[in-house]
Amino acid sequence: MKKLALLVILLISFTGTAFSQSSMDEEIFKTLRGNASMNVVIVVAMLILAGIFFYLFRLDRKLSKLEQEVNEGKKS
Amino acid sequence: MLRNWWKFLGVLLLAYSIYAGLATPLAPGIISAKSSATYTSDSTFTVTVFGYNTRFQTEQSGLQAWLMNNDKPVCATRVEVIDETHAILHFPPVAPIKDPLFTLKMHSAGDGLLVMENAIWTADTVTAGLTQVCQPKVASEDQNYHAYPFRYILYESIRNLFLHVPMWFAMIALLSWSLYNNFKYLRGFNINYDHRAHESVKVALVFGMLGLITGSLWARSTWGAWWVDDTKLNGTAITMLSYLAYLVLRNSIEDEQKRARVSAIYSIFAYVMMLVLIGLLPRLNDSLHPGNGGNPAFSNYDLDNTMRPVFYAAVLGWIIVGIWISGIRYRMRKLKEAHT
Repeated sequence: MKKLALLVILLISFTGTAFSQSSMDEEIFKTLRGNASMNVVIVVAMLILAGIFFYLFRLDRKLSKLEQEVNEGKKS
Repeated sequence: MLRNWWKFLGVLLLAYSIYAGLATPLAPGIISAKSSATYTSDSTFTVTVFGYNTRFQTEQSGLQAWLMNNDKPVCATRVEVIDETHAILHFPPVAPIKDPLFTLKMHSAGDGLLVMENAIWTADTVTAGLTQVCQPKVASEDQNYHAYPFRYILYESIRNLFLHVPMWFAMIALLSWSLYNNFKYLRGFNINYDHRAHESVKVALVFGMLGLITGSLWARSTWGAWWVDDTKLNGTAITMLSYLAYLVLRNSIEDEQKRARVSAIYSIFAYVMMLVLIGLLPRLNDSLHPGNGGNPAFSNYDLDNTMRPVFYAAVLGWIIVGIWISGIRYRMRKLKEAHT
């Protein structure tokens, strides 16, 4: 839960929203944000999921077209 | 249901790897250490330490800190804990023996040994001996918690091991599957095997693209550039291009059997090229990738055993998903050919 909270804070601070932090937290935030350590994991995970799902949707559309062709072939 | 057991296995493995990959915490470590003095041999000085996932306050009673130079430790006279991740270390005057760099080490029972290599730089000339050598009392260097290793620069992004690397394993597995089907085609000239090989190359390229994009993002955050002149990066780019050429080559030949034969032979060469470019050359040249060119792979790190099962699950899971998708593509192709 603490991890999740940190993640949310990191994401919010990444978008540049004004966020009051004590100076010592700032150092850690700067380091982690500068390297975008956790953000890069999230973005990478999202990219892979988006890529795979995009590919699957395209495949699905192809299959629907194929089904249509097959059904029309049966009728004629 | 029973015939599809391996698909369920793939889904379960992926679910496990994503959950364990994100839920396991990162081991405590030192993110930054700043010295108050440029010359450390003149007078006492302080080092401000920022930790990550550390418990300085909880472990305050047993918290030790010392600097190492040429394997000689110099202990902090006082460890001033501000909060869990913030401490100020007070050191006596120290002159370097070997190089003007000190490695910072901290130890407590709960957090184990925290090391920051070359944490402090000093402007002193390397001549004098160390002023005070001490013996830190470290009962055990073991870290007795379940966490991923804390690596400088990598930090949390070490989790990308479960996302980026399996893409390449899936690509190589699909290309191997394609090669196997090419061989089977060449044995009996059954066109079905050629179709299987073709479809799995298409899916392999999708995984390759995802691997390149995710790798590029990771490189930006750890190496500082979207694309670096690295043997492995260029090798994978050439591999992807040679398999794109395979798809173009197929389109350029009309006769089905001839197309199958030519592309089967071509893909054998492309596969061997891939083995050389991805597997062999990065190990002979310098490479930023772990496990290549003298770089240690992740398997060399001591806490790697927490990552290994998650990594293998992700690799196997993505390979299964890849084979699954290429099977669907193959079945669609059969269906299309039966009705046109």
